Amino acid sequence: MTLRLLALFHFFTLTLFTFSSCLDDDSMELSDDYLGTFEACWQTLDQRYCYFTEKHIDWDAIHDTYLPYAKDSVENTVQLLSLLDAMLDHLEDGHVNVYAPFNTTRYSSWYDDYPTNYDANLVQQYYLGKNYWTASGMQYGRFGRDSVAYIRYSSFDNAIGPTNLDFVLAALHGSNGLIIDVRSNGGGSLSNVPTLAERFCTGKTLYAYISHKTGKGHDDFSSPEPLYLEPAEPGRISWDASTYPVVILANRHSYSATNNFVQAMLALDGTLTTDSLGQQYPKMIKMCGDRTGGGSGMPFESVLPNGWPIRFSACPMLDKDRHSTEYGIDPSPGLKVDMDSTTMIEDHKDDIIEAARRYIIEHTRAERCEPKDDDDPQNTDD
Amino acid sequence: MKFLSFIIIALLPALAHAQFRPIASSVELHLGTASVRNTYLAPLLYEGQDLSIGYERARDWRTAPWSSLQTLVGQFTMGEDKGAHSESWSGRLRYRYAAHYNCVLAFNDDIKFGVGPYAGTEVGFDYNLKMASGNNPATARLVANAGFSALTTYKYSMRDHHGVLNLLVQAPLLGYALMPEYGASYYESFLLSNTSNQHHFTSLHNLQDLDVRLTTDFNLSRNSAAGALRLGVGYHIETMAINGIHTRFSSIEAIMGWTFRSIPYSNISKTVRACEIIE
Repeated sequence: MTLRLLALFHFFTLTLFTFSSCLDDDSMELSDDYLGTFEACWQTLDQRYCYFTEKHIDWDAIHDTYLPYAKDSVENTVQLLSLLDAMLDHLEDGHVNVYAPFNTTRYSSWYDDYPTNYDANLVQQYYLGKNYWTASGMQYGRFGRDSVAYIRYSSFDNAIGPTNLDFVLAALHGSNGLIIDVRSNGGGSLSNVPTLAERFCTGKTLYAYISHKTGKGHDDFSSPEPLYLEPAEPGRISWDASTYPVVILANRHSYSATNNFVQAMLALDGTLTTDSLGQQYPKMIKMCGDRTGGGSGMPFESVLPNGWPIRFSACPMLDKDRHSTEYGIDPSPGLKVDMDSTTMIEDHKDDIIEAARRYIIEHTRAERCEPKDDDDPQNTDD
Repeated sequence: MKFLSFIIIALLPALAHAQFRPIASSVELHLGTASVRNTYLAPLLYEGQDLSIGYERARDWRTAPWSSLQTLVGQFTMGEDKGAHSESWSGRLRYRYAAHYNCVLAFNDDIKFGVGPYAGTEVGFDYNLKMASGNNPATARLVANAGFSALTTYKYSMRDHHGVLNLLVQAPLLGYALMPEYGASYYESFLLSNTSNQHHFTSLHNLQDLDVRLTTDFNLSRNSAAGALRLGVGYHIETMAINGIHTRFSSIEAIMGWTFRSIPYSNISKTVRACEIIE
């Protein structure tokens, strides 16, 4: 009996030993030569990129177009990267990059082909001036002439500390309205989006959906998962957008997490705030400037056989109406504004900031705030 | 008191094994090579060095001929892809409890064969250094399973020094694994609490695991109470295919450690109480 058990046990062990690597998948581990790297790049995107169907891209045809060059024409890594750059341009996606030690492939037509609509020197010299304050990556102050508050947030990579944000909003309290300038903010950490947006939220509000791939097929996606904004935790300083309007400034270079932030804020527009007397008023949250650059696909990364990292859009995000914002979000009606170079150079005026200020002054329900004293450290202009 | 101490010391060798169920514990250091692949991160196989620390504890049950064997292993690997272009780190912490039904071969009572079930759990991570600045640089691992465990021991002696040769083989048959969906992000899992289709039943169709260890405990002195030097080799391979994600973790290691026997304090207390009655 014992011997039989021993024999059975050894047979079982040998069987497992033989077949224990069957579940491993080395089919995508291609060679690290130029052709193998090209194939791995194409294959990674074929299985994990999320916008083929939405963008009507025939990825198989693109493979067939570029394969001959990968086989016969590429002679060094510079040419390989150029070939990959040309192939990836068909995706028209700022979130698709291959990182070589000497260069990075990129698609920038989503902002290169459009007016810049932002001049950092103009804002710094004639709006922020020297008296602005800065916290958590935000530069902020108040325009003395019309008491409109202004926050410049240049990157969602800058972590927003809740206590820092309390101080920022408390310092700007008493203004007629608030401008949040996220022009040329290329994105960053998605977790900073609700951290900032929740300060304008008074009730649970649906603002987006997110899904992910469930398989290698171009249309293998999970059911969209709703994303909600909820009010900041008790004790945190919030901004009453039903009384003091908020205008977000954006341009074509407002991308990725910034696009998501604009989407979240616009979802709050029109939602009701109840005041201390029980009266309800709609929030006034608008976007002024140019259409955003889009980039609503959360990017993932992988590694090609030659060690080059590759980044690609993997998880598509939709707005609250389940529409894609991959190609951007339009400004609020009546607030599509392009900067005029003459105004910039001769009058030192930023047309987009000026349009936002006019909107705030026309719509604020605050008791009209008098211009602040020159001694007020929050005054940044005039 | 002196007389009591004398009784305890005199009784211990005679009673240690049969009546007081001594514990055989081993502390081990493993060094070797490992191969890791996790297609959630990248499709490449990363091969490199492996360092592990292990603890093993064996004890007979009160109900003969059953015995238990517990193993706890903490493993860390650092590997590169085959072109040495990128680096990956992995960590595993594995605990198993096996119960063996033991029998001795009729023609040679130096060979003991134990077989029975085991239950265990494993947690770990895989981290790709090339993807450190992205949204998916690492992935976590959680597995719990039950399976088949067999331990063959052979007692031998060399020039008045005694030793034991151990062959341990373990393989899971069914269990549970936590695995994200093919393209799901940890942002969605943790911040949005969307964990749909992440909890999976595992069996041989989607998880294959084999753990083989051949060790010898060799008494360096004639006094077995002094402990024994443990030397050996270990081989572990585990592959998994769930949600279109394929993982592989395999290692070959040299094992070095020390095995010592101890008697639980509760058993010593029983001796003391027995002696009091005698007095």
